[in-house]
Amino acid sequence: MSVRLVLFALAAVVFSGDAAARADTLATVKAHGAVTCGASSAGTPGFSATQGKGGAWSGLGADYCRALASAIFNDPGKVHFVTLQPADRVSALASHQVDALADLLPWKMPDDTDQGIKFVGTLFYDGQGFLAPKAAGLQSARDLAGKEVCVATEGPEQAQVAEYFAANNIAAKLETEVNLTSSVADYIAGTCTALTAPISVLAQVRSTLANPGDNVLLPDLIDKEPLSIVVAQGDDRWFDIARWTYYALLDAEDLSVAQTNVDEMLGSDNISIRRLLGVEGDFGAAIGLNKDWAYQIIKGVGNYADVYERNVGPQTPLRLPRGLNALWDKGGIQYSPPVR
Amino acid sequence: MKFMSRPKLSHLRLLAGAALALILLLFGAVGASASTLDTVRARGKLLCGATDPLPGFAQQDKDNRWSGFDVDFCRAVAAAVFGDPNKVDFVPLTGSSRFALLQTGAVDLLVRDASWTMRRDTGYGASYVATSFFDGQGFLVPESKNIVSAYELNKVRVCVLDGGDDVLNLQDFFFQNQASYTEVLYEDRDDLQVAYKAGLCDAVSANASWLYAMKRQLPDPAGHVILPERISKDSFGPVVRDGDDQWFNIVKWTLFTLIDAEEVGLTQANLGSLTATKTPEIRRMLNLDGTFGRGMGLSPDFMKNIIAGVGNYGEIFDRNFGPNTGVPMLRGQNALWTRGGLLFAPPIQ
Repeated sequence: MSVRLVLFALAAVVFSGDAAARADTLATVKAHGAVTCGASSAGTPGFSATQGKGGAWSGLGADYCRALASAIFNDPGKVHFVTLQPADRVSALASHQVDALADLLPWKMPDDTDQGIKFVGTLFYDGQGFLAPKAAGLQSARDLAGKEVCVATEGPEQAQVAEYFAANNIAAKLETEVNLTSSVADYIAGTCTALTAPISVLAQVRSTLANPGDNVLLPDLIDKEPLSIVVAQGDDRWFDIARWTYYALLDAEDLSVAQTNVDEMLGSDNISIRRLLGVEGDFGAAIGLNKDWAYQIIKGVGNYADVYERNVGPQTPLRLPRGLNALWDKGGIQYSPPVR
Repeated sequence: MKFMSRPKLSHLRLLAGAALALILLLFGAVGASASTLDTVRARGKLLCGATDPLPGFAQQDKDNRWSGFDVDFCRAVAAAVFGDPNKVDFVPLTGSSRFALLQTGAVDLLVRDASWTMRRDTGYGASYVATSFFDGQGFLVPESKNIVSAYELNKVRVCVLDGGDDVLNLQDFFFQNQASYTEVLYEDRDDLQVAYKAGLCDAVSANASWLYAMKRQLPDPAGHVILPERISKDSFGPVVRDGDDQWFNIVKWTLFTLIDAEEVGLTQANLGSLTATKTPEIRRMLNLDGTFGRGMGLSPDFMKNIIAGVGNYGEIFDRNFGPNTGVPMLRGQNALWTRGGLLFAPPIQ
C-alpha cells in the first residue's frame, strides 16, 4: 500500500470519527423532510411488518417512528421506511444511513457497548415463555412436570429452558428440532404439550393456528428480553429526542391523556398535563422541538396504551395482555421520568 | 411561615440558569472532546459529586470517611475502572452548582442529587444514565398517631417545601381524597425537620428518601413512620456529561451489573466460591465465559471487580438501609422486577 493510500485511509478514519462525534441527526431529518426508519425485510407482525407486499408498515416499532415524525414535523406520516436485511440493521444505524429502527432490538451487553449504537428505552418487555393448549389445563410452568416441551435448537432457548427446569426441579422432557417452524409443526401434531420461545414469537405462532383461542400463554417468564429503541452513538440531542418521545408516550398514559381526549386535555388545570402538552412552559426548545412536541405525538399516534392496544393488545391477533408492560403503578414496570 | 417570596426565588433560579449557560458555552467544547475514562485514569481516581449529608445516602464520619448508598455506587464505578473501590474522592454538592461542577470537570459524575426531570436531562448538557433509586412524595408521621395509610390523613397540619411541585401534589392528593389539611410552608429541608420536631405540624410531606434521611436524624427514629403511599413519581440516578458515550456506558453498565448480580444471586460473599458455577450469566460476570467490557475500554474483569468491591445492589441496599442501621427501609419500588419492584437491568449475554 502506498504512503498516499495510507494517508487517505487515515484521513477518512479521522474525518468519519469527527463526523460521528458531531452528527446532527435532527438537522439531517429536517432537511430530508422525513424520519428514515430501518425495518427488517423479515417483518414481525405487531412490531414492524407490512400488510402484504408494498402495504403500509404497522407495529409497535413502526408507530414509534411515527411518534418521532409527529414530534418533529407535526405529522405522523413523515416517516420513510427503508427495508434492511436483519444482519445490516445495526451497521445501517451506526453509519447514519437510517435515523432509527422500526425493529426493536433486545437490549443487552455487549450490543449496547461495542457496536456504535445506543439503546434508548424498552418499548416491549419480552421474555421466553410457554404456549400450551387450553385443554391441557396447565396453570404454570410447574405443571409441565412429566410433559414434553417443544423447543428449537438454533437459538438460546433450549439451553435456557433446560437450565430453568433444572433450577426449579421440573422434570419435563425436551422435544428438539433445529428451527422454530419444525417445532411449531410438532406442537400442532401434538408431539408436545407446550412450545417454548419468546412471548412475542409465541403470540405470533398462536395467531396462525387453526383455533388461536384454544391456546394459552402460561404466566411464567424464564428470561428477560427487553425489546428496545436504538439510535446511533455520538448525537446527544437525537438520543434525547428519541428518549423523551418514548417517555412522552408513557407520561401521557400515566396522566390519562390519550389520542381521543388530547384536545380536551389542553384545557386541563393539572400542572403535569399542562407541561406535557406545552400549555405551561417550553420543554421542546432544549431538544430542538416545538413546545407542543408531546401534544403532537399523542395527537399523531396516541399514548403508550393506545399504541400497545392497536398493535399487540388483547383485541389484536397477538392477544397480548399488558403484563410487565403495564405502567409501574398498575403491576408492570413501564416507568418514565416526568416532563418537568 | 414563608421565608422568601416566590418571585424572588424564581429570580435566583434564573440567575443560576444564566450562570450555567455561560459555563456551558465556555466549557462545552472541552467537555465534549476529552475522554472521561482517560482523564480519570490519568488522575488515578474518580471524582464523584454527592449530596452531603443525606443520612443513609451519603455522609462523612468524624474521620471524614464517606459512606452511604450513593457513595457505594461511586465506589462501584471506581472498582469498574481501577479494580479498587477506594480510588474515589467525593465532592460535596450544593444546590444549583451541581451541574456546573459536572460541566467544568470538577466531578466525573453526579450521583443522585436532583430527581430526574426532562429539564435536567436535556437542558444542562448532561444526561441521566438510568434509575438507581425509585422515589416519590410520601408522608412522615409520629407513630403515636396510629396512622398506617396516607388515606387516613384528615384535618392535619402538613409541613411541606414551598415553591415546588410538592405543594401542588399535596393539593391534588387531599382534593381527590376529599380530606382537609393545612399547609405549613418552609423554604428548605432543614426547616421542615426543625418544625416537625417542634410539633408545628402533624406530618411532613416530601420525597421518601428525604423523609428517610430526616427520620434517621430524629432522636427516636423508631417513633416515626413513613407511610407506604407515594403521591408523585420521582426517580434518582447517576448523571454524566454529554458528549462521551463511552463514559455513559461505563456508568450505566456499572449500575446494571449491580442489579443483574442480585438477580442471579452473585454476591460479594459467594463470588470466590462460584468459579465452577454453570449459571451462564454468573460465568459471564466472573469473566469465565465470553469477553465483556473491552468496548468500553474496561478490563474483562470489571464486573467481578464491582461485586468484589461493593457487593450487588441488594447488598448495598442492606448495608445502608437494612436492619443493622437501626432504621430499616423497605425495598418497595426498589425491589427487583421479579419480586414486585421496578428494578430491571438488561441482561449480559
